Amino acid sequence: MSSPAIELIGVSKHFGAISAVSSIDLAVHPGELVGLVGPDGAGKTTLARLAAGALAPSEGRVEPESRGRVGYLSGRFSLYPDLTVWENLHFFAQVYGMTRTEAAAEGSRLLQWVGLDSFRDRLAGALSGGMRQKLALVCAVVHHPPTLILDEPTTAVDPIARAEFWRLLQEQARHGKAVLVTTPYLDEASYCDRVGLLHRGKLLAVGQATDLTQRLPYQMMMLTAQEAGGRPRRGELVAVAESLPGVVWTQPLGTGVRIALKGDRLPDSPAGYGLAPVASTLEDAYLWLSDYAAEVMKR
Amino acid sequence: MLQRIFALARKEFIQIRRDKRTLAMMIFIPLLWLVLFGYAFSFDIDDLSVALVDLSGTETGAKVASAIREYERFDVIDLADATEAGIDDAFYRNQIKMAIFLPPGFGEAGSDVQMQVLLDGSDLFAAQTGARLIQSAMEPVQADMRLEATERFREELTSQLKAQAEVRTQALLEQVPPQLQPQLGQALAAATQAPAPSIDLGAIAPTPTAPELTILYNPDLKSAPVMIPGLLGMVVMFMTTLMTAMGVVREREHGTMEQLVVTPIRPFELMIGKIIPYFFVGVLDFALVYFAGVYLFDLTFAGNLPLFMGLSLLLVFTTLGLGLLLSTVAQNQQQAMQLAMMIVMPQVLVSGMIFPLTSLPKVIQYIAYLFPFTHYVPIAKGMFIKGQDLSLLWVPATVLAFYSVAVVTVASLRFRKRLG
Repeated sequence: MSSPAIELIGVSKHFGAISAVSSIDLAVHPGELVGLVGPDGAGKTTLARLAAGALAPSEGRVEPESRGRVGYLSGRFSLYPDLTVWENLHFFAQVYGMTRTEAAAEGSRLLQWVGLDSFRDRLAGALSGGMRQKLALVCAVVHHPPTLILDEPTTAVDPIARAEFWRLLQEQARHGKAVLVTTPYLDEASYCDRVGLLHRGKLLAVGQATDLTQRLPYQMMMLTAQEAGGRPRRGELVAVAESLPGVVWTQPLGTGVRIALKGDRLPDSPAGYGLAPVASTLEDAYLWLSDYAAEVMKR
Repeated sequence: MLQRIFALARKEFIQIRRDKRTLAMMIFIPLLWLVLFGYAFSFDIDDLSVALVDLSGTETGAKVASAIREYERFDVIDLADATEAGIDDAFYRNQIKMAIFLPPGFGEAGSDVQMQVLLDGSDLFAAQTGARLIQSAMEPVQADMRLEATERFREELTSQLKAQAEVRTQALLEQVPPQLQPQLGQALAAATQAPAPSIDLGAIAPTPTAPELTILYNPDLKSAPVMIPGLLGMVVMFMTTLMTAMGVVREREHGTMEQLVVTPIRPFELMIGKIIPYFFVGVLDFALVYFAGVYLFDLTFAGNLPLFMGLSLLLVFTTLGLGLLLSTVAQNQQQAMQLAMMIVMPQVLVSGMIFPLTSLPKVIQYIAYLFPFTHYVPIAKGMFIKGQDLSLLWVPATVLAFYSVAVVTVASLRFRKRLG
């Protein structure tokens, strides 16, 4: 495998007594799209900022030095709302040292690529959420950085625009860029080549989403009520699920309850209820790795 | 490097141009302040409401009353209750700022009754103006009274001399034998018919002690010529401090600062790129207030204008640095504005621009000298009104130069650290 385009080696960041991320080792290679998934407060933004060079690590190092070498899209809309699409793009191109001619040619190409060409004179502040993110993306890649770091680029973006945005990121990776994306949505992991699961500042695991899912040592089952007995209340269904032998956690979902069960022998269905195996997901793997499920069960 | 600075400055100019509120603030606040300080905040009271109560019943009293009535800067009010109590009531009701009371007996020969002038101390400027103007109002009547007194003195002297001459004639006649008395009487009568030796009363009259007043540089004692030079600095200081601080803080608020930090822009370039547009804002406002002030208030700049502009640049650098310093402290634009006001307003109040520095308590004076604007005011006033040059103003100019270097250095260090 080629050498990493960006590598975080033993990186930690403390804000006073609070440790935002600790001992992170992560490498992103050229042509690879890596997703960092975790809930709010997991340390995604801090990690993205450290990788982009917007923050200096308290311990460890980021290689190579990021400043000026990465395209960075910060968590919130961080372009100038009172500048037009074209002015924003032109400004960042010039800041990255591109000549007027280069900026004009590359700017036009990129705007066409993301479908913003007909909006070049519109103020950035007047764009829709999805369009803003596309503009932020072209501003981040206008100078052809080898590495692209994006912090929650699809938050508050509608589902169609999200899918479109991921397609653009995959294209960037296909063209040889190392792309690191943070997201709170576990379902977006399927767009990534590899996924890092982040929890309370720690990287729980890194790998392909399917591999991570397969690591789960539990059998996932779905408990439902049989129609003949009438529909029981959700509380009742959860109580039944929790009384099953080998239950690790339960999770109400739709009309049933998802259950993680340990042990080789699966229990029989309780009378009046249906119990069927279901496929495990990345979310299940996250709940297992983070011990979050155990905490929920204790509560 | 230059390309990055230029790109940043250009972007900032576009943002200033698009922000209508900021643009309006840049143009209208200086003009508004100019009009306020030039016209509205005038400390000269043009029509002073004056109650005149003449109970003297004398010709002198009538003359004084007439002079007061005719004085153009007094707006004389006749009280319904023309008594001392009536005057007190009129002061209490804010109907008058000054009262002139001519008591019974004022102006009578041999009387030592004096006219009384009362002023409303709750209105500082009106009271000061009244105290100053009463002298001018009384000037014509004082000349008349002096002439009248001299005439009375002459008549009195002549009649007393005549009476004494008669007494002496009688005494002489009684000392000679009766047969000589008719002859001597005729001789003495002839002698008294001869023209009396002329006496120049002017020569022996007391020399007038009232000085002849000549006011230099600002003969009409108008506020505008005194206020506008300082106002130039005040406008520049306010605009550059506030707008620089807001410009940087806005970048942070929009999240674009984080975006800039990961670009190849260095903190120094970022600082210069951000400052350049606001430097021009300062220059524009300086020119606006200067030309509007000169045109509207018919002022003449007495000193060396290029030197004045050069020294004003020292203030601009200082205040740009202050703005930058504020931006490292303020979390949002609202805080930046509040902090800018907190820094600018005390500087203006204690600088000597509005109130004389020497009228402030010693402690405040020492504090005032810590502010850069206090050193700009004597430069602005001295050069604008009196045409002073560096041979007199080198001390404030040096202090200002020191401030510009020190503030910009500290600000850039803080700015770098904050970005780091």
